[in-house]
Amino acid sequence: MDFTTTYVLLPTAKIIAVFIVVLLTVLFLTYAERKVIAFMQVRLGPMRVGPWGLLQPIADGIKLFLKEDIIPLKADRFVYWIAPTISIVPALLSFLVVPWGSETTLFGLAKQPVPAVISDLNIGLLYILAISSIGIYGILLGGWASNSKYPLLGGLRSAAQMVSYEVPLTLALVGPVMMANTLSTRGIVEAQKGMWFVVPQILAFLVYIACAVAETNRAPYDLPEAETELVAGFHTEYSGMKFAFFYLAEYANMIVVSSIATICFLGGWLPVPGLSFLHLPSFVWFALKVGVFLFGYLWIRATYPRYRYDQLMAIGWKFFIPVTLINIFITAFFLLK
Amino acid sequence: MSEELKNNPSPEKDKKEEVKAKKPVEGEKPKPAAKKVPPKPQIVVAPKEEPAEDWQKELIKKLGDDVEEAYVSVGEFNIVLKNNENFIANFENIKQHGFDYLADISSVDYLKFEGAPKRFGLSYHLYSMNMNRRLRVKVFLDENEKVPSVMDIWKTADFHEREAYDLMGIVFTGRQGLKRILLPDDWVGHPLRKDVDKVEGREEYTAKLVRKLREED
Amino acid sequence: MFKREIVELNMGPQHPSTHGVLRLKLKLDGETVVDLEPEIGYLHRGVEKLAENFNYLQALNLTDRLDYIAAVSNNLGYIETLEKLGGVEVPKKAQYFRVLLTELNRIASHLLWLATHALDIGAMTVFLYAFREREMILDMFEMYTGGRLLTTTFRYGGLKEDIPEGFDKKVKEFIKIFPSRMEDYEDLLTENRIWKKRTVGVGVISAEDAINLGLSGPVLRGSGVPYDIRKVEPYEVYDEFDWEIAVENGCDTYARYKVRMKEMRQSLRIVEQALEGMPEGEFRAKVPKTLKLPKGEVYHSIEAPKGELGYYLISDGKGTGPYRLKVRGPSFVNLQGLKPMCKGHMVADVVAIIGTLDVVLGEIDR
Repeated sequence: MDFTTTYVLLPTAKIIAVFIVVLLTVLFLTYAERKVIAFMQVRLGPMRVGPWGLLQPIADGIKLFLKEDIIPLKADRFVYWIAPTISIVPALLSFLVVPWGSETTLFGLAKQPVPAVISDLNIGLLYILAISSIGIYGILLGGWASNSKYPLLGGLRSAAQMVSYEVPLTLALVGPVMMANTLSTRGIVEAQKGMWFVVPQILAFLVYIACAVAETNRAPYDLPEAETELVAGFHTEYSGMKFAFFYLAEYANMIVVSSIATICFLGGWLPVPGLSFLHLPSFVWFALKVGVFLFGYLWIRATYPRYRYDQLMAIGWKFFIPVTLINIFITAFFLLK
Repeated sequence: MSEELKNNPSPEKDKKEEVKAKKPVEGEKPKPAAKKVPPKPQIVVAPKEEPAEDWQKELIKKLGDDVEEAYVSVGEFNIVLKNNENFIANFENIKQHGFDYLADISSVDYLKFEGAPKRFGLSYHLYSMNMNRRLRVKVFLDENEKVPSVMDIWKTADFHEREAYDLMGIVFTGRQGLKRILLPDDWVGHPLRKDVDKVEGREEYTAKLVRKLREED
Repeated sequence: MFKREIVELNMGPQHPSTHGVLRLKLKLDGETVVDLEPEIGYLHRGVEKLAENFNYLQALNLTDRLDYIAAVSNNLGYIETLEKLGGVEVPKKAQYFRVLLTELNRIASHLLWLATHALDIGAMTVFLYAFREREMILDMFEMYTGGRLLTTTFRYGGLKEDIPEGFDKKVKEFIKIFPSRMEDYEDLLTENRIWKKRTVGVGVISAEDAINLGLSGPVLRGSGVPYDIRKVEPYEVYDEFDWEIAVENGCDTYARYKVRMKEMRQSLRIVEQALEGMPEGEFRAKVPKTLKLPKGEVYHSIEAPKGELGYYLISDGKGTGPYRLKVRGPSFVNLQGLKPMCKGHMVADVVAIIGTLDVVLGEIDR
């Protein structure tokens, strides 16, 4: 392969493909959320726009684009403007190292199969963790810049919550990394060919799921935007496209953390043991596993009430962190033996 | 009874009274006996009976001279208290007598009511949790006459007194935070008074409000 | 090094969980409530003043609009007050049907409370489940009165009209379905760890304080005081049925939740018995067309879903309408419990406590 293909054409094609797929997934994840929760709550969900309301997310998108963009008089205009961007860019950047399949030819664009990941960084996992923690600033700044009390409270809550849940989240991922002996996302998946890490790392897996829900501000940890307490939390004052950015970032983050869970615990694109005779393409397996997690998100949201702020902090620091630390010790013990 | 029946305003009412009710009321309480309106103007309530039960007599005796009147009407025991320096002490007495639950304080403007002794009336509706009895303590007030607050005895009086002040303009002394509760703080007049149409300054208030709204537009 | 500052937060009158137009002025230290003051009156329509200008029947329409979630109970309280002063005997059939409708209304009111209370705490599915069952009750109301929310049900001396055909079938269907649906709610909430964490020990008020503050209804019974007017001063035919007062000793939000859940089951028991024992006969006593009441005053209270609903009626014996009608709304008095309950809790608990008090602003502001 020549230089242009390897370093310009292929990456660009991958980026465009991933970007489109992610945005479409985000769009239809909002639709799926409304539908799934609707069926759990004995109602129908969106039904009017398109067949079974399938075009609802597109209609929503157009609506948000065309909405008047209101900036409060007393807001810090620059920070207010940049906060949604800070929120969405890291969420999308995280997909840089998410391997969606084993190898791909990108519909014949590449002459021989290339790894199905935009960039196989050797510190992939670290990169995701680092970049996703920037997203917090978007929420924090958005809450602060609105210069209003409810967003401020929401921003404070999210800062506290995300900082304290980042720790157990990262510690939970240390287990799989130790077992795979690499930080590369592809490497971690390939290390699970014998056995998925969910079996030996069950403790870390459970903690990770709980923390991931908190990290993405979803119910029952949706305190920063707890609508019945703080109206809409940090994005109370936002409207139009800026609001849409926050919204997209939340859903993109959901996909990111689900992807990490799939990569680190459920064997990424590897087929489910015992079902490999189906010969599904690897990206289908990956999508299915991510889909299971996303469904779990929606299910949890329809089932559980919301935690209180102090209780949330308490379980984060007093329960999850010790558990993950113990898990690291156990893993180390068995690896050394 | 026969004399009273003679004074019936309408024959229809007479028929109704014949199928008169014996509603299920607690054993200790006197049965409701709604009698006819007597011809001569009474102080407030028409069908009256003497309090017959022991606890009622006991309570009247305990309150002594401060009781202006005590009677039973429609099965409800009423005590009319004087608004004097013993007012609070009397209520404390009543509470010690078992009436620990203050259900309501109602204010009444008797301006257009025939036979009322004074302009305003306050009714304290009390209930005893242990004895399962009800009691109404009434006090009559002249215009601009103030009445001591019972908030120290029943905390629940707070909202009730604020409401009476807001809507009827009755001033309670000896308490904190007596301000309007339902209406805006700068409202003019007390709407539940019967002469509310004659309140001065209403037009100015409305004009001011309209002006303010126009400016905001 | 750090300066602590008390932040004043204005909650409402437009806020998702102040259940209408309640406005709270919160003083916060971080997220902890230091002080709180309810501001009410945003829905003040002057019901009491309006009633003075209406006749007795017209004023019945006003009572619908007090606690619009439990319009039937409001109607019942008002009509009974008139009947107490007028001294009319209501036929047995009317009394049974009144009890039946009122208890159905109690269930509907509690379902709405459950729905919104759960939603406030974040359990959104219960909201829609509860509304599904409430819909069945509202359909029954529509069948009988034509109205779903504002019913204007009863009349002086009995009922508006006879019980429609097929009504009992609908009630029977509801009686059959409802117990299993109750279990659905309880499965989602009662033993749910998060639900218990959010409600146990939140908004504690002792029995003495509750009585002193004049609280009533489930809020008082949640503090262990068995005060239910249906039992202690039975009106209508409540003494003919077999049921129990729902009491819990927890004094907190969870206890009040359990009281209301128990109460729905008890109400269903009463509905069942009232339907079975429904006597034949007249649905209204013989009463004059134009209602005139003798000169006098009367205070009558009933157990509305929210607590003690009292009407203080003064008639001057001349007009065809009340000289003065004072409403003792349970929500108005229960709201006074908010301040002592909330102090020292967090903002999220304020929302839970507003929910547990089950206030309806139509009744508070009148």
